[in-house]
Amino acid sequence: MQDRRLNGSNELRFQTLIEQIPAIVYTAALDEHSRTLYVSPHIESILGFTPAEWMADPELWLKQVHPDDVTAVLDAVKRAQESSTPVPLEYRSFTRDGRVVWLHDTASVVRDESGAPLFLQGVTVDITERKRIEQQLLEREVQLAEALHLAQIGSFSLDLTTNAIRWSDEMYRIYGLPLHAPVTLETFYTYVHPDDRGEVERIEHDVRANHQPASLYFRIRRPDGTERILHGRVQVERDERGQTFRMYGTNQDVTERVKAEQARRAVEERYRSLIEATPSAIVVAGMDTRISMVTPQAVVLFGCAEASQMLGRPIFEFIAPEDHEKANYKIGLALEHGSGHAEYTLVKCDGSRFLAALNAAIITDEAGRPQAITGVIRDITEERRAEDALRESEERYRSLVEASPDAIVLSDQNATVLMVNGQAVRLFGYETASQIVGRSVFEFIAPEDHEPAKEKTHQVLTMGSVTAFEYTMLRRDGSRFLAELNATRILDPMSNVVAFTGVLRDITERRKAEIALALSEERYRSLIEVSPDGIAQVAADPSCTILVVNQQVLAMLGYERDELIGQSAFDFIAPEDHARAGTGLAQVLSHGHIENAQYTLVRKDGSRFLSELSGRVIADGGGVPRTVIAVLRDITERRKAEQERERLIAELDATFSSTTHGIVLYAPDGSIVRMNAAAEKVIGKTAVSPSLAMNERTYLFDPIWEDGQRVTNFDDLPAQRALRGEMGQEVVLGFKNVHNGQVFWLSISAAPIRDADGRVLGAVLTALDITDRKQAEQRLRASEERFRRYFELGLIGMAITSKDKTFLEVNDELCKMLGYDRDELLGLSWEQITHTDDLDADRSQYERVLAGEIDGYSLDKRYFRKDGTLIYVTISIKCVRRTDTSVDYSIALLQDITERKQTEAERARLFNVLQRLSRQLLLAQENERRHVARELHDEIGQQLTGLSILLQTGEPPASETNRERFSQALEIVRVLITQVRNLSLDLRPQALDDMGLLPALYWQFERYTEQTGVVVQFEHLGVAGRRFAMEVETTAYRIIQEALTNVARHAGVKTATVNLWTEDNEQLCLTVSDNGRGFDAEKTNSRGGLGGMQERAALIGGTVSIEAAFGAGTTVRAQLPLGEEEPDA
Amino acid sequence: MTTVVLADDHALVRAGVRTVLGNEHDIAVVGEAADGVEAIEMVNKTRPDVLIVDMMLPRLIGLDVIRQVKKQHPEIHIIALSMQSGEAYVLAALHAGAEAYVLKEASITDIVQAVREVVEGRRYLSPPLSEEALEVYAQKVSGDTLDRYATLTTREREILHLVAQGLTTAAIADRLKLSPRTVDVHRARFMHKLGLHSQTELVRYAIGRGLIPLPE
Repeated sequence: MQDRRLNGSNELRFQTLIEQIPAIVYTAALDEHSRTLYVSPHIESILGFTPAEWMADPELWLKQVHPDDVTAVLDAVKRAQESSTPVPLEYRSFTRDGRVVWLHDTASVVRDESGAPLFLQGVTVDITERKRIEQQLLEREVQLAEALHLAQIGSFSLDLTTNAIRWSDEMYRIYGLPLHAPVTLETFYTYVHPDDRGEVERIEHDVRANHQPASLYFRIRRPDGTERILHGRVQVERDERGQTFRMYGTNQDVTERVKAEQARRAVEERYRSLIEATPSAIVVAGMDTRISMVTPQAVVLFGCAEASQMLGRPIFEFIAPEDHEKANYKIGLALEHGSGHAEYTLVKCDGSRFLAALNAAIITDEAGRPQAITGVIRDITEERRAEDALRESEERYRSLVEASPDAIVLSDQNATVLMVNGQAVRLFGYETASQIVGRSVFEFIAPEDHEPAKEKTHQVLTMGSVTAFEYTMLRRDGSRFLAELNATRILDPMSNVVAFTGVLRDITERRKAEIALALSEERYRSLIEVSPDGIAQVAADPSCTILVVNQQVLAMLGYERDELIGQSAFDFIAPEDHARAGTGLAQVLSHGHIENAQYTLVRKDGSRFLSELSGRVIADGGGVPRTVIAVLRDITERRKAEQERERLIAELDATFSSTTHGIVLYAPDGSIVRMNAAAEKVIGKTAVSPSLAMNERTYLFDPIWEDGQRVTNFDDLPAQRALRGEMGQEVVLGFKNVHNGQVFWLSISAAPIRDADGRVLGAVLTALDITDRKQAEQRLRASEERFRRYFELGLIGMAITSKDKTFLEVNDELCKMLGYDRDELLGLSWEQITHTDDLDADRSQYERVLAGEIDGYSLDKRYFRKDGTLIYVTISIKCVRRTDTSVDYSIALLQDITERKQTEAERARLFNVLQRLSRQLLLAQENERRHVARELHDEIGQQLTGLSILLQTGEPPASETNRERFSQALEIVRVLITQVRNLSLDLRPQALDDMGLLPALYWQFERYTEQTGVVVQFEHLGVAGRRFAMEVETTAYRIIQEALTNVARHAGVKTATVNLWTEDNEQLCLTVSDNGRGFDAEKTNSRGGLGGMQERAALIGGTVSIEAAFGAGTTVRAQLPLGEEEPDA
Repeated sequence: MTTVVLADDHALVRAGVRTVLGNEHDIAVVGEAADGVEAIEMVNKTRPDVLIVDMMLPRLIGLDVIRQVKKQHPEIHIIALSMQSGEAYVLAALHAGAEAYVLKEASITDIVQAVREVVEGRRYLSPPLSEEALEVYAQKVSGDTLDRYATLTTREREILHLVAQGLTTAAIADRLKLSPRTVDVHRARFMHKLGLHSQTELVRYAIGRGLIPLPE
């Protein structure tokens, strides 16, 4: 009776509790209309009907259901009536005043002991507000998903207890997987690039251990084999107890961004190394004329120790003051035309000067604004010196010819006079050379000498020269004179005779003198002394004894006259040239003369110099060579100049062929004269004729301008323009493959080549393959465009904040979120409007940004709006650093999550209430079962037992019929006793309360085997002789009972194994396993009973998991926290 | 003449038992009680040879009555009368001091036999209860039967085997595609579960379980 009273008060408490909760609790009959039997008073606050009204009309509840949901509701009622598990349903219903409310209803059938259905019991909760928020949340999620899709950000979450992973759609796109393909932690790792797997695991582990947000870059391999670079961020979420339960984060595909950066860096690197590797001296100056870059060669050229001595200084400090005006003027011109060329005297670091040729070009930005001047500098001091020397020596030749005492005549092979010197003009009695030039040589030879002259001409043609042949010549006035002629032929490089030279001497006088025996030695000497060349007379024999030298020879060799006269000429020739000199002497003796032989001579001081020597034999009257007259010239300087020029040409040649710029030289007709290897490579890429790249369209490539327009007029192309004499600017041209649409890009500039008179001799074109750079630029631009659009969409609040935390820029969305006008917000710092409780977290992260540990962070925080209300936001901060890594400014993205937070809190509260209610219901149920079981067993059972004993002890009836009935009655009593006992045990074995878990389980297994034939192998550890909290024992008992029922029902086995043990006195663990058919755990999430088991375990803070696979058996595993241990019962 | 006190809260049962015993000329029921407290009082008053007590008495449950009477009057033989056939109940009654356990649903003659057996100083159990079954049960519930190895998870077993084969943490991590830290966590957990404290103990355990094949 005591128990019953207790139970009665329980019932009252239970009812009070039910009427307190903000939900409708009802029972309904299982008839056609599901007539309401009981409904809690709360119905009035939700639907506006009193319980009495509600129950008065059996069909009222259905009438109130929204027409669209009637079918679903009826169906659910039907299912609930047939099923043994609760059936949840969400539907709409009209309130009394016609409003629509969303209801969540869970109904299940209550059955009596024999399993016959009694009535339907349900709990109805008003979820209108939740539905509204869910709808908004859904919309927001869609928008966010779009924004994330735009930003290519995928998001994921990882349940830390079950390791279940949830991916946003974008994640699947990023990983190249079909939407909603199954993803687990393990399959995720198979997509991570093997080299990055360790790092990702480390981050995962760290986040699990330290609960700190983390981010990293890592690579993945998509199923199609492509690699992507991702930026992942992850952090953990905590429940209200502060326990972490979920990891969530984002993955952003940053492959393009990283690659574009790398490409751009590579291009920059390439340019830098190109410039540094260039053999040219290059100086770059900004528009303030200060030097911003120099190549190592320039540093050397200016005689500086290192580049820093030049950097930052104005270029004018390196130009001689007298050239400043010219330089200013030239820079002005260059700014107009894009480039220029000039020669300046430049000043080295040590103040010394040198002459330089400077090719300047203006570097502009994309808008064409000049950014810098670049100058390629060449030291031309030596070049100039060589040119001057050449010019000088040419002058000297000319004056030599003019100054020659001999008459000199130059004719072509047809004997037409090409040139004569003054002596010749005078010799023949004319006033000017033009009176002779153009006439035939034979007009000046006496007719009787024409035949010998032709003969001698032939001799010159074949032999090379004639010497000292005498002709009778005709003067202008017809008078005659005797002349001695020395003639030689002049050959072109192909050894064709192009001209004859004749040196004529009027020997009339000589003859006279000879006749008069008067050749004054003094006069002869003075003659040779005036010669600018060294003149020596040596004996015409192998001794080569020096007979006469003039002053020039003495000056050349540094000897006194006495030291030379009588010596062998060979003594002054360098030993290595002796052999050649010997051959030369032999030639002179046989041919009568030698021209321009070059020998190295040795001075008195031992120094050497290169000389050019022409010799002529002087024969005596009998034609026997007596002496040789040699004319000597020191040609060291000339040689040096020539070598310098050759070196320069070679150097230019090397530059031409080695530069990475393609260089093409054009003839005036547009045909290619020459191109270097780089040009061949670039043009080779087009796989078409070389001229294509510049001026033709072919079947394979379409030339396009930088803006993508097709080139329509080929006259506009750089090479064509240069050939027309236009000084071209750099042009970027694309060549689009007409088959696959791929474009490769060239940066082309062309310039005309002009001769001294400005006539165009051709054009030079340089081309550089900038396809990589262009592609990187295009990608970068596209990605920037995407970002810009993302921000302009205004889905998200955005701000740019200064290093000291003030708002520098804000978008409309942010103003709206925070309730401030833009102008008001711009004066504030984010610290001023942050909720005090959230300030520390935000500050500490920001400190880390300032310290350079991280570049950004994301956190949930609250702001005070202008009206004083709070707004909950997720902010994402990304800082932008200066080159010295200090923070320049930060970009903040703010997302309003107030509603989400509210929904979360609301859901948590609701969940809490439901959970508490469930626990109460379960407890009440168990109490009820215990009570009824005890009542059945102790009261009815005992009474029946007493009856049975009484019946047995009484006298059996006398009559046969009565005896028969008596024993039947006794049998019925026995059966009743058994049935009552079984009924009681099925409800709840008394042993569980009286004796504890272990005895109750042994008893249960015995009964189970009896009923199902399945043998239970039961082992336990740390459980014997112990009692646990009643809820723990009950839960463990019920889970094992449920799991074994499943085994008997589904597994098709003869044995089940149950293990039960305690771990660290903290939790009670159990497994129920079989080797049966198993099932696919992935597909069957809520296999009958499992959900119930999990719910039961969850109510006391425990977990139930199931491991199953087809054919591999099933294991149900439960872990139940022990809590306080019960004292022994 | 053997004197008996009968304690049961159900009058019907008492009547039944009294009738059965009354049929025996050498057994006399000298007192009855309807709850535990009454039973103690009655025993103290009448000092019977035998106390027949129901396990489920109100006010003071049967087990407590048995314990108390046995303590005060060790000479009194006690018979537990019960609806419960579970071995746990039987053992509990015997441990408390009862010498016989009679099921109420058993044949009525059982109670008579029980009285005669206990007076002779022997134990008596109603069929189907037996000393052997009790012993087996007592064995099962007295101590642990579960091998600690069974409490390991599949992953922990896997790693235990690899450790026993001499693989390093790094090698195991590599083979199972886990991070070394995860392997260490599993390893620490199964060491703890198995009560092992060192690598030596682990190796000994592994050999004992046959995880490491010993050379012939």
